[in-house]
Amino acid sequence: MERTEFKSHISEQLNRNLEDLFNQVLEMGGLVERQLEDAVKAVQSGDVNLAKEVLQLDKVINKEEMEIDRLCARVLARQQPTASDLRLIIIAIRIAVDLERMGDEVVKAAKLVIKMADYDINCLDLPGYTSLIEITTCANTMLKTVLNAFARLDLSDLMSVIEDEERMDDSLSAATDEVLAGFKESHFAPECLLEMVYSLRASERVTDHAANIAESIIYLVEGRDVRNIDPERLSEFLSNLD
Amino acid sequence: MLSSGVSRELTWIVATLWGLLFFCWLTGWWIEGFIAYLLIYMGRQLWSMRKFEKWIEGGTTSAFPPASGFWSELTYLVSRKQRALEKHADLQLYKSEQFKSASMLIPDAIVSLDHENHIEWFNASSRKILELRSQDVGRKIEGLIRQPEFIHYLKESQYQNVLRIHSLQGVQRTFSVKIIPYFDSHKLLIVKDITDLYNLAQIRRDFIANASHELRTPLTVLKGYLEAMIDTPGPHHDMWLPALQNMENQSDRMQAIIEDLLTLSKMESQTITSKANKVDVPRMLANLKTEAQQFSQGKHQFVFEVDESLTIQGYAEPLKSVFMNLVTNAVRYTPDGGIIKVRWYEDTEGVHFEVEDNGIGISKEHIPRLTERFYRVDTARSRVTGGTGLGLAIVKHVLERHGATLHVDSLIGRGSTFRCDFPTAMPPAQSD
Repeated sequence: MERTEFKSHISEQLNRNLEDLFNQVLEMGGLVERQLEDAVKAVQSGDVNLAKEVLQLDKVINKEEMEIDRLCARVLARQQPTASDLRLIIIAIRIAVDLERMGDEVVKAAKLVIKMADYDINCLDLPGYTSLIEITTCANTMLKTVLNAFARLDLSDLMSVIEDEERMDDSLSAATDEVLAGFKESHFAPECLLEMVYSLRASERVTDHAANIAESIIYLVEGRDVRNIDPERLSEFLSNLD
Repeated sequence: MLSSGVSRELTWIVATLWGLLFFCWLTGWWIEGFIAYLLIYMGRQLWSMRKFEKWIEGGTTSAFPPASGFWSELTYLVSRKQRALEKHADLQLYKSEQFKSASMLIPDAIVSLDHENHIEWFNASSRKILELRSQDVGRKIEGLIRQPEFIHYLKESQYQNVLRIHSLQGVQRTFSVKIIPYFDSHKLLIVKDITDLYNLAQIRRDFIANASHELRTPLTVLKGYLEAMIDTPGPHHDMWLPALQNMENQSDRMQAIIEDLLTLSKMESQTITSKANKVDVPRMLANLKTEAQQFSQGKHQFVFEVDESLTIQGYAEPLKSVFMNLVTNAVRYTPDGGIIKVRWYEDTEGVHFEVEDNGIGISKEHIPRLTERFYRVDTARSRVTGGTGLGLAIVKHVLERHGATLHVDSLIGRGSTFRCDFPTAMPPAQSD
């Protein structure tokens, strides 16, 4: 799809609505990026206030999702677009859902900081901490990449997202083993370790959602649904695009 | 005078007419000859026109069309004009290229946006700082820089402020972001990496706060012993009393400086996060009056004109130190018997606190620098009066916090007026 400006329609209104929608999705993405960034910082520094800010931000993100749904419904009802415009609306709804879920998962990860403050434990000492930071930082990079790809309608960077997602699955299972060993050996209360497992799972889910968004963008640009393709064929598909 | 094109044409006509006349005289075909001549002349004109047109359109490669008379002159003029234009365009291109390459080298990221925030062009630093790529020209900036604060700043359209953000495109550094409207509702976005500067300012603030805090304890111990020594009677008393008293005075002074430094660093680090409250200024000023009279020891005359019903939104303690600082300054720099007028009033522009004295005054060149730390108009004199040199710096900071400004009027030998101008509506507390 070769379109960066919304000037291709005779109807000014449709152009404007589609552009609004596009920007709204990116704005929501910006909020989730910020939330994830804050969550990583909160875990690293054990800052409870920052973690609470992450929780606050989630409410804003939920409102954004509703706004995107409203915009989509408005365009569908009034202008009945087809082809790439229709695909844009479909994936806007899908990306909004993914972003909203991401927000929820980030909140789960950030709750670790608040819980640990109650137990007076530094997150750094818990088993699986390094993996948690690795996964959340990677999730942040992935989210940035997919949002940039969406803004530019450019699929060239999406390969790395698909690969990272695979890698993070492995990281999660390694980290779970580490925490599991911690149950037997370390002196931490099981509640804390369990909380760590939740956080790890939540941050891994964030990467899954980022990969989902990447698939949505491929659908928008290429018009092909790649959701149930195995990774090898998907990377082959991506490298054969140009 | 005939223009050269017309005279060329006339020369041609006259020359050929002679030929025609000679031909007609020989043959006697006068009418036929003239008709043939006219037809040939018209044909020649039309042919030249066609040639000229082709040349103008760029159909021929030759520099000039093969034409004669008026048309050759015309082509010459046209081509001369064209060459001048080309030269001018070259010069313009050179200038704009030069300008462009200069802007490319600026270390701050510079992005030009049109009225709908589409990117028009950006410099090389933007690629690094903002991670823009060449295909991003024509895209909306909001899609590529998605920081919520930035988007808010962009939408708010209050571009006289500078936005400071602590992370950009996933990089945890401090950036100052400024948008300058220019040229027909276009915008220039300037992003500067100020991490080093910001850290330096932070270190300086922390240092002052820590140093003054650490100095406080030893000073208290010294003061305690000095007091004890003064109060203990004994043979040393007569000999050492003046020295001890002097030491006590100086340590008091030192303590005052440390207290002021602490107040200042507290102001700067903006730890006052509490909400602004209603401040009962008239009552505060009533207390201030007695304190001021004690401070002046009855040597000055005070006139208080206070609007008893006027209160403002603000922070009580800092405001009190502002008023106290201004009044004690007036006492210090007014000779005995002087009149100090304190006014608290409201007018159309806002609420004002004014301290007027008829003291020694300040000369003009000092006024802009008065609020600098430890700035002294007259070093020798200030030591005697016992100020810390930080009073007006504190005043400035507190007033900034209230959205107010300090206005100073002064004439040497006549006295000075210090006026705080508060806006009628208190601005929301700054969060940083």
